Amino acid sequence: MNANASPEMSNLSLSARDDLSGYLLTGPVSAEALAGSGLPLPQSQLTALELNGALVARTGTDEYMAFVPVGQEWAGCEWCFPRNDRVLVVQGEGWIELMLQLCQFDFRKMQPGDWLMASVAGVNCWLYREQQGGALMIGFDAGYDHYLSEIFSTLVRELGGKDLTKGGAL
Amino acid sequence: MKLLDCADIGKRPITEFDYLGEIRIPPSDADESTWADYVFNRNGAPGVLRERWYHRPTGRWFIFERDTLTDQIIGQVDASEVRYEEPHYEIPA
Repeated sequence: MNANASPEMSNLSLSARDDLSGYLLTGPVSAEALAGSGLPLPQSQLTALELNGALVARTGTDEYMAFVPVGQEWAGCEWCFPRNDRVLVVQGEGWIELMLQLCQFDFRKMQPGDWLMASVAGVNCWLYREQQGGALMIGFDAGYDHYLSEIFSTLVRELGGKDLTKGGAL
Repeated sequence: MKLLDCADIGKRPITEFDYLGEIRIPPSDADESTWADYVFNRNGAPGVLRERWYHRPTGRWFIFERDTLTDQIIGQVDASEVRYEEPHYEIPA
């Protein structure tokens, strides 16, 4: 943690996305299943696309991770497995400074629309910068929620931001 | 911070990887002494090894050539170059 962080208020904020259902699609019909459901289909591996609130990342030759709004109906496929990811969102100035304390990736290179899979505070995470607004989504196994949420919350507050995952109360 | 430069995912810190050791191809249809040598002995002399490295966040395997004297990664090797047939075993009756 950065003991010298500025206590001044900033527009940095931490929130959570509970409105997405995650799935892992694999096998030769995975692309067909996504296209048939009207979900975006990234062409290159380790890239992601957003469409109508859904996010799809291509993580392998025939493997995709899809996050669709809760309640949105889609066909899926035989080799479609539900995921239980916790998704945090960091937004506002100072997000790069925050991430530099948790991850060794050079986030200055990360542009809106970029997808990354990296270790954050020692936990395997996927990261995506939203096209609109540039907020950073951080997804990980929900078993690490308590650990990572505490770390993010502490850092956001140290940097003068707001933790909106706890009702906005500081 | 030590970085590994990978073709698919770019430069990544070595802490994101697990080291899975040298790739050693089993001697198919060999006699017992050859098999014993393969199973029990290792050449510890410095040199270039082909090694498996696993990148945890992406779940991808990489094969690197590493000079064990200088600890420098020389290059990345395509998996097809180290593919081999499984040895055929006769199970004794």
